[in-house]
Amino acid sequence: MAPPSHRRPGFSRRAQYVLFSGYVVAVLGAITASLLVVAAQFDPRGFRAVQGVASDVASPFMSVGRVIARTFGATDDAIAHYLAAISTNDALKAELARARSRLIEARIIEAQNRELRALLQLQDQRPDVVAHGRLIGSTLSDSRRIATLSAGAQAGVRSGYPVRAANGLIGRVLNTGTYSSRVLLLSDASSVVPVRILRDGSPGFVTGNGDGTLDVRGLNAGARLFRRGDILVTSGTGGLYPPGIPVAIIIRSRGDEGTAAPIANPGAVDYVTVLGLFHPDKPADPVPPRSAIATGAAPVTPPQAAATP
Amino acid sequence: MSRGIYSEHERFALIWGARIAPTISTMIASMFAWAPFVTDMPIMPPFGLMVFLCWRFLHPTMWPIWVGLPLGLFDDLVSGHVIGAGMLSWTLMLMLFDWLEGRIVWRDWMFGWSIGVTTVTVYLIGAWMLTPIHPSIITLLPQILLAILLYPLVMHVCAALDNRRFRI
Repeated sequence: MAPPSHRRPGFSRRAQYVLFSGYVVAVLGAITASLLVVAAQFDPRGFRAVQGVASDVASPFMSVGRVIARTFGATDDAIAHYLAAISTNDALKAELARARSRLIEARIIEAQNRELRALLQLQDQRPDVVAHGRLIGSTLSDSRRIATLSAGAQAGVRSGYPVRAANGLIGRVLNTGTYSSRVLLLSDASSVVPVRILRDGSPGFVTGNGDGTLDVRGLNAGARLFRRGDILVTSGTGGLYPPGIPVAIIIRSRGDEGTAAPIANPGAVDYVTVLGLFHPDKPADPVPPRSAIATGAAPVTPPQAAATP
Repeated sequence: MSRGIYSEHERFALIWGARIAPTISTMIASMFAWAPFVTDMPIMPPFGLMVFLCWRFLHPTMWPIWVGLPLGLFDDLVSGHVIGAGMLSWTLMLMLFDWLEGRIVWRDWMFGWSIGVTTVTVYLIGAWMLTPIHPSIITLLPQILLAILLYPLVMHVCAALDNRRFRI
């Protein structure tokens, strides 16, 4: 038999009213909360403004914490580096010797490339650098992979803009606060990036697995496309991500699918760069008006119809 | 206005101990999700929920029935869960535990640990299911394991705080 509730308020009429209204508020609140959850299923990008404000509030805490973490992390690294100094030195010398000969080859190719481009009169479509910032934190207890960036709408960051580190692609801006923004990392399950294999240029898609690795699918079904060690770069197809940014390196291959590891590790990079949206059919003349690319939505440009001759 | 039998300082200590200290401690525990690291998988246990549950088990009548709404909303905003997930689940938990309260005859340390850990696991899996496009459930395992291992520590911290909360 169920015992009496311990919340029984006794004979006080006031206490009874307070208890009853508490239950009314709780039930109404629970109904509202379930409506919010359902709304998020249909419109995952809703509540952008609220989340922007939340990331603005969080960013000072994260920045201070990051300074502290770096101070301690740096001393750790210094000790480890000191212990491994001699072997690292030998390895670096060997690598430098290899790199020198490759550098000379690369210079020759670069010069050749410049001549050929001049011959073809190609216009360089360099994406505009919008802002620089640091990745100061991430969703540590949620299964989505979203990092907090220390630059927001005030620095010109808009949602949808691609974010890269010096060595590779990081992801794209999901939503912005005034001083900070949230970046959807490559490893998130909802992130999709069109890529091509650097070796032979065959196209594919990279999606996140949510555990730090990426899933790669080739567009040529059935063909054995990927080899271990292949480097994937953005293809620029469909706009958004500018072409030629290193994305991932293949670590496992099975048929026309593969598993890849991101080249830029968002946990280790120092500074990241926010780029403007890439438009495949962008005119070669000056920068388009900011308002045209600042709408925040994913670009609706047709897939590279103009780029193929 | 009647000043009652308490001095100004005592009244402040009562309000602080009864209302503010538990609320603030839960919010601070939620804010652990602001640790400045970028990780490949979720690793931070839901400390806010764990502290919330520990207070509930220490003092069954301490939280008003609606308190899961503001505290859950705060936790949703801080942790990046779907907004509403924490509001809904924390309120439902309070109601469920109120309903269960008299039906459980004996309670000991293992019981507190196992029911807390079960609740946290169900909450994490629920939050994972509510995420519109979610990765494989294996990515949750480190977080759940850490939560199970760290739950006794949270219980100890809450109990220590409980002993001191009226002494300011």
